[in-house]
Amino acid sequence: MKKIKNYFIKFYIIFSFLCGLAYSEEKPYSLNELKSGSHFSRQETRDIENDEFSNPGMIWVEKGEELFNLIDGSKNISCNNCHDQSGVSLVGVAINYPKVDREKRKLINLEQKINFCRTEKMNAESFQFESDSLLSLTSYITYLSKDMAINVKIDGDAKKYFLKGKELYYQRVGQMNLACNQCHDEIAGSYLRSEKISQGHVNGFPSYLMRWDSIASVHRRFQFCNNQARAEPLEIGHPDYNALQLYVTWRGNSLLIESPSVRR
Amino acid sequence: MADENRKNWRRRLRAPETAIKGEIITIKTMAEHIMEPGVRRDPDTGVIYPKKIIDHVYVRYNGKQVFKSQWYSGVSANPFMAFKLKVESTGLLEIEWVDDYGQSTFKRAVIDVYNDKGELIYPFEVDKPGKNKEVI
Repeated sequence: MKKIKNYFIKFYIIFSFLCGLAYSEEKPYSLNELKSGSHFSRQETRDIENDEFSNPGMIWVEKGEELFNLIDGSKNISCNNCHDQSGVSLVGVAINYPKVDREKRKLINLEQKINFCRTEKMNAESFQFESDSLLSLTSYITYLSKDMAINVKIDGDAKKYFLKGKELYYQRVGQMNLACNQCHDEIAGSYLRSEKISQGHVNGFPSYLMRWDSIASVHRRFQFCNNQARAEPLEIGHPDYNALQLYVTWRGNSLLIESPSVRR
Repeated sequence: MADENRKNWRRRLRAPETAIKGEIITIKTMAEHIMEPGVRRDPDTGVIYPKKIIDHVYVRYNGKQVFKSQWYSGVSANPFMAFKLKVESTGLLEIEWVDDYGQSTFKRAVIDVYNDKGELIYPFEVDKPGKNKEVI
């Protein structure tokens, strides 16, 4: 009996070394404390968000559905030809992003994945970041996995990006000398001027932000956060922002996707 | 690729398909529009973005105007408008949004109105079968 036990322990040690110890880390918020961004917004804003008719983000979702079925590129195919008709559904895809792409061997988010798909599979032109078309497609694909729990992976290849993102999250930047955790971990729930500070989860993105009258991606929101701390923002699609997005998304693992959400 | 500068912006209208006579129904509309107020500047060049808003909205029921509203430059982008309407007969609801460039866009819906017995009420009088009319 002892031998078998020893065998199992040895096997476990070797196995765990092989798998990079199945990397796991403690989250800043426990499962009970996790609160989505809509918890911190006002009742009026939540009413707009919950009604699909009055939610302005649904305009982008409808446009995205149109684009999804639109034939484009020199191969004369649409997204629909590969994904829905041949059974590779996109339902539940958005919960895994950002993730390490097998072919590219680097961390990419959903917007970049759409562009790679367009240039390499469809032979079409890639969309510009923050263009109306790219935001529409992203919000449509995210909308397909609405009410599913976020589940990004941080072990294996993604571990180094995760650690980079964690470093960026705790790094003080800008004239204000602020790090992300000082607001979103330590004083979340209290007021910053007229607005409540959220826990900083990105489960509602791409989200309709009333201050811009438009859907915005996570990276644009990061830029805005950096601007407010009077730091120099990076450009959209930067690998550092991807790493930060991975860390921030992981903080909200097991939250439900509620895109397109409405925020102020 | 979808044309980003297209002129036919999306319009949405939600009205109940059926109603009882004298019922007060709620109608929701939303127009996709940039609603540029005409005071903002381009951050790089300093050029003022030209004003472009929806300035008139007409609501008609069976061709008869129910109300007209005038909007000015303070209205947010993608304006949402809801109103209540008392219906007496079956009819065609028509919303018209007019730009300050004079461009009109329409959205229409038909509302079937029934009385307490479950009969459809027409907006015009229907001759009953068997009723003889004298023709001169």
